[in-house]
Amino acid sequence: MTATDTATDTDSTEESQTALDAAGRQSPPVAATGPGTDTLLQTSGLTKRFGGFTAIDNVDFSVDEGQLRCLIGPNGAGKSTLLKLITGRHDATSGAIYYDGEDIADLRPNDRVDLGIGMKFQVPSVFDELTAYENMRLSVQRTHGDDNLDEAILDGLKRIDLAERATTPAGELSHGQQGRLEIGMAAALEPDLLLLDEPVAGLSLEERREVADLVTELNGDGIAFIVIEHDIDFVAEIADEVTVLHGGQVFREGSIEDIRADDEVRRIYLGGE
Amino acid sequence: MNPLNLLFLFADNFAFIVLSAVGLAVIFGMMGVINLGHGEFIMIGAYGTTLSANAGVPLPLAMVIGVLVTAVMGFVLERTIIRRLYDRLLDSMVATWAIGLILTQGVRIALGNSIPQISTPLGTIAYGEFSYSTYRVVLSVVALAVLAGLYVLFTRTEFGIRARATIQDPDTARALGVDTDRMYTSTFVIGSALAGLTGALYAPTLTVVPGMGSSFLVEAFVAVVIGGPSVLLGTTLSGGLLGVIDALFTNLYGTFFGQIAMLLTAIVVIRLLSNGLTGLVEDVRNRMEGE
Amino acid sequence: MGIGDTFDRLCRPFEGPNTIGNTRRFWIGFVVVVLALLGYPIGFGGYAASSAALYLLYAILGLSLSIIWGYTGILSFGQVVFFGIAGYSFALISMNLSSTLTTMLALPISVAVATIASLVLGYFMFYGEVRDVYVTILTLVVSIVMNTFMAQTAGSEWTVGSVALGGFNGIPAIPSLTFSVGDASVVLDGSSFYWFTLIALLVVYLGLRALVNGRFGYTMVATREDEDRTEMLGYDVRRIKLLVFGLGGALAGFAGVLYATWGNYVSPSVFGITFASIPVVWVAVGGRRSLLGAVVATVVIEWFRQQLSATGSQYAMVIVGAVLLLAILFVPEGVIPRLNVALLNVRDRSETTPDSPDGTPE
Repeated sequence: MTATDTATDTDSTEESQTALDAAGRQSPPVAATGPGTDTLLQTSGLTKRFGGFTAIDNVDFSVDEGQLRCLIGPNGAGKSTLLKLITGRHDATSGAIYYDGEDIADLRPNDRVDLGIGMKFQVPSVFDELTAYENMRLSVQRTHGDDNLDEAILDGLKRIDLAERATTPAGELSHGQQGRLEIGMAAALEPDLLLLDEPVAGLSLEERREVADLVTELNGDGIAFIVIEHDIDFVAEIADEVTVLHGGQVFREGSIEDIRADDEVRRIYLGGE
Repeated sequence: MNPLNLLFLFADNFAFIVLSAVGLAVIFGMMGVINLGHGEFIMIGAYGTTLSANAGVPLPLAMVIGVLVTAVMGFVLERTIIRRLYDRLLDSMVATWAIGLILTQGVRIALGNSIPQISTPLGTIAYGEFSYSTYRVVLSVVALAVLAGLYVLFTRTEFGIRARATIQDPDTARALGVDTDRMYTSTFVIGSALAGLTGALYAPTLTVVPGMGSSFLVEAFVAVVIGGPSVLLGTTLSGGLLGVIDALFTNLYGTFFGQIAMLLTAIVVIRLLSNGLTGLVEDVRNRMEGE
Repeated sequence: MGIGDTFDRLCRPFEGPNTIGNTRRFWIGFVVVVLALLGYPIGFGGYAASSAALYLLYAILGLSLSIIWGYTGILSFGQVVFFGIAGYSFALISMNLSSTLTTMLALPISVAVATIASLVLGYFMFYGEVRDVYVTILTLVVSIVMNTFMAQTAGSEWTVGSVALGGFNGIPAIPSLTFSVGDASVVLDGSSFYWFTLIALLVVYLGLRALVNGRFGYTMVATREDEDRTEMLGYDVRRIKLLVFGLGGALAGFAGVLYATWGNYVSPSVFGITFASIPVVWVAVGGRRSLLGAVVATVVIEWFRQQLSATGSQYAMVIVGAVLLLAILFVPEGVIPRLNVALLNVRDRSETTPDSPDGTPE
């Protein structure tokens, strides 16, 4: 399935995925992502069913390189499921996922990580019994040889402001510190796309600001983000663009101001269509 | 290969597999605990029955005694040991293994290596030049009755509904007022009683020795592994599938090739179907609904 | 102190958070114990050394389970399968082709056979995404099936080359390990077998220490702690488990060859469910996350079992079962690590004087 020779349309939003090749046939939008385009990730007709329940319904969703995308929507809209489909924790029922020029639907999660997709889970999942240093080591040793390993680990910890807690078992860190450690570990893998599932849930205002700063800083280094969050203020602070998911489908997309002003969006949150 | 022979062999195997597995499956299905001492629980049921029968108690009553003894033992073990290990599943396997070791050797020390055996009741069915133990064939009916009984217990009684709620979601069940601790104890006792029943039923037709538990292990474990999450459906399907395979291979090549065939079946099934046979049935059902 | 620093530097690759004993004091004690063990045959004679060698080769089997269960989280009752396969392979090879060269080669070939067997089984289980609980059951079932299989090989048709598999009776008269260079050859038995096994155990122990304290060791531990999380860091968890399982199979196989050449005999009882569970006892009691714990527990428990069976006591397995149960319930981290923590606490307390608020020695 290659359409790399029919890269006609470089419009990188999801409206353009049905490019036509020279013979007028529809070709899959592989060329819409990857070198030569700005799109990093693109899903096409992505669907996930659990038994009789459709969690994600024919979703066309894309993220540009370096873009900070927030994903919002009422509970049960399918946000976490979408992230898990992208990382490979769930297998899609149908549809395609293109990333940096490749169709990744058949790749295992760890192969997708190697390609540059990282994730921070909703439930804090650091290695409780290992120290912060050892946790970070597991990430850093994937991209560094033995000679500057120690230095790179400490750098990684410094970046997330946990250098003084290096010898503390991760299970003893505060909720916010664990969250930062997870983001830091994901960032240390040098990803191009980071997926964060509710990174500030349950955190204090101060801790939320720290996460926002960290995310913005990493974004400034060129990492694209998809962030699921319920806290609209947090979203307003960091988002380049917002996607609203509802009932497993893309409901709206736009800037945070547009979304905030949109009556329909408010209705789905309050009314429960 | 006489078809009647094959049929009886299948019935015999089906009974053996279902009865070997059902006690293990109930405990595993409810709590995720694999009782590696399961074989020894069966042995205790067999010993309870045999000793009672030797003391003059009529066989059916002796069997009841065998079941009760095992159930009480299960109760004691659950309350003292097993309940501490529900969050450490691999450790619970090791602990139940240790219990099995102690039981085997304990019985050997207390009662010696052999005791007087009970003879098999009901004689044989003769057909042409073949004959088959009637009792063994009857056991297949008993196995079906046990499965039916468990079905009724889990779907038609209040206890069963509470039990299934606890399996699905212990926290919610607790919030709705179900005493999950008591539920776990009850389930373990039921599983133990079922193992005791297996021992009681097979006491008249096997040699009752301290190490007899291990002859049930392969069948029980393989059946549970390929059965999948649903206790009743899984055990029934496993009994059917493995019963056929075992009957075929044992008839053609001998007992241990039957065992190898079952092991290979287990490996293949578990490789292809991550949710075992019940997963397969669910898949088919979903696919039919989706269309 | 120049020598002290050099000593420390030599010890460093073997130190790390994944094993106990990371101080100079530990290593000095270690060297002393090793020297004492080396001197054992001289003090107690060849026969005593030969008996002791059994515990040492069992310790290698124990280490094989320690790395797959303790460090990687794979509870396997099947290490004895590879132990036995290697033992039987060695018998079949060395007894069919009876030159000293083939007897020498039989060792690595048998280990290779055991390793391949473990890689095949491992592939089916880990690449089939079989759940932890089922992995344990499958390894137990494989042991039982091997036992059943080998036990019924009594008939004369069960012969490989000129060697009968022997059913319950097994294969007697297995040659001892012999190493020859040119015309000079050395047959290992008695004291020489003891020294060979001791050196082998030392090499395996130190090698594993270096492994678990290095980057792959961290990966093993991460796999044990949380497979999904480890996968999300980009590691291929299936491959990690397969590699560790293969290494465990190789070590168990090596111990199996040593066993076959120790008693010059192998039988299906090595596949029996009792023996299959013995390594679990060693590792559970000694310390799942401690290589040293596995070694010490193996030696102590086996010595104890030997004493009990020598007096004809039937209580051996009851006591073993009870010890295992108590260990799992009350000392899950293992006896040696618990002792180690207690020792460190004692040392902390004695080194903290009233004027120094932070008396941590390390």
